[in-house]
Amino acid sequence: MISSNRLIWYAIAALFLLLAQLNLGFISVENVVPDLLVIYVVVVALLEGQFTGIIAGFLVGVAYDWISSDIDGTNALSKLFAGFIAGFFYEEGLEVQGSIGTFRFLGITAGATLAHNIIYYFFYVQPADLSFWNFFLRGGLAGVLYTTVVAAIVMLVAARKKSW
Amino acid sequence: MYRIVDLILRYKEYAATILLTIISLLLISGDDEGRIRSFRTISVGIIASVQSAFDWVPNPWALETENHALRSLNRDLSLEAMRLRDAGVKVEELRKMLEFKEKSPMKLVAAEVVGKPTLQLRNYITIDVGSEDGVKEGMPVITPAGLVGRVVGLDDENAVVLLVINADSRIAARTLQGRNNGILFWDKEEKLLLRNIPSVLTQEIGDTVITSGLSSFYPEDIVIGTVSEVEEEQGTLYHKITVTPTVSFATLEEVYVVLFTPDTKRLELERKVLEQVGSASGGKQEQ
Repeated sequence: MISSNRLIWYAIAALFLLLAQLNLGFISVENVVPDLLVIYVVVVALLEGQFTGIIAGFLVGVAYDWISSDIDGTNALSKLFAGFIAGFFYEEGLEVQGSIGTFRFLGITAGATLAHNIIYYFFYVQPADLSFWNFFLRGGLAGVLYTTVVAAIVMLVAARKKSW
Repeated sequence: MYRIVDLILRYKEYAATILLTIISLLLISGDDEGRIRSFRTISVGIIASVQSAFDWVPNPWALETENHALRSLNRDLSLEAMRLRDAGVKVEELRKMLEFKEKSPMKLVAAEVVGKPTLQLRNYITIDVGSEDGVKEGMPVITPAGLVGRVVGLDDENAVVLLVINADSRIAARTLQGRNNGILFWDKEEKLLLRNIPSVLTQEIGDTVITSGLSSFYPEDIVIGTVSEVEEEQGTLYHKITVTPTVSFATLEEVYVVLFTPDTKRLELERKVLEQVGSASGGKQEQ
């Protein structure tokens, strides 16, 4: 069970990241931005377990759908699956350094972001007459790469900490 | 019942995933419902104000794209400005031409310069009017600035004009104030020379040079240029008067053909008399 103290910190972090995600225009490359919320969900899933990761993914996804004018439910669905996938790699008793501060974290983030982007773009292109693969290969894969690069910063910070 | 609850708790991750997936799909299918819309309107407003606070943060990639777009826009606008400047000059020229035509007592036909053939020191222009427009050989060609030349050849649609600045050009001209009559030649550079004016006659610099009534080809009083230099011609009793043409031949684009035909009877009489004088003097030599 998560302590209420940690829960508050997770909520504050989620709020901060939601705002940050909407203001990433200044680091966009060819309109591609890193998905900070997926990194957040992966971190939560690796530190707290699959169930918490799924819930966290769904909640930040729903919140993001509402505040970003995106199609309702698309981010909720894709981010809950990111938490679901990352949750498989949760190891009880593993410290922050071990779960996030290694290259393993980058691999998990890349995999979870890939699954996230496939689901997200599948629903994203539905209302429009767009080719999913064309769209996914241009935006989705570039997004995976950019998100993984940003996750490396989180990994480097986590590698120096034993606990939050 | 307990077994079901126990099963759900044991596989709570899967149960949560299935449940939340169903909720997400319901949200997707019922996108943008009224109750969400009002919340969304407020949140988008808040987010927009937060975003505007971060507008000052530069994005190097976006700046590069913006820079590229601005360069492209700048190039297009420069071209547009150049075209407009050119059009402005053209409009001004045409306005002057129109004003000139309305005020001129002569019958004029407007023409555009379509070619500038040059053969050694013989400068010509080709204009886009011909016999179909009432143009005939020998007719003078002018602009509001002054005399350009005369038509020396034509077909139905085009005419060739021998310019004032042509080695073959000879124009009977006079000075407006000094009233001195002479023959105007091209000095083969940028100026004209007014010759055959005796040095005993006074000639001021700045005087206007116009076609004289003695001309066989041109009507009287068409401006040709201004006197820019007066000097004594070495070994003769005549002035050497340099005239600066008022027409800019390098930038000639629009002209008028004056529907003026030389007095053919007079020309014929002059030709006959000259022939008779020539043959008489030839006979004397033979004697």
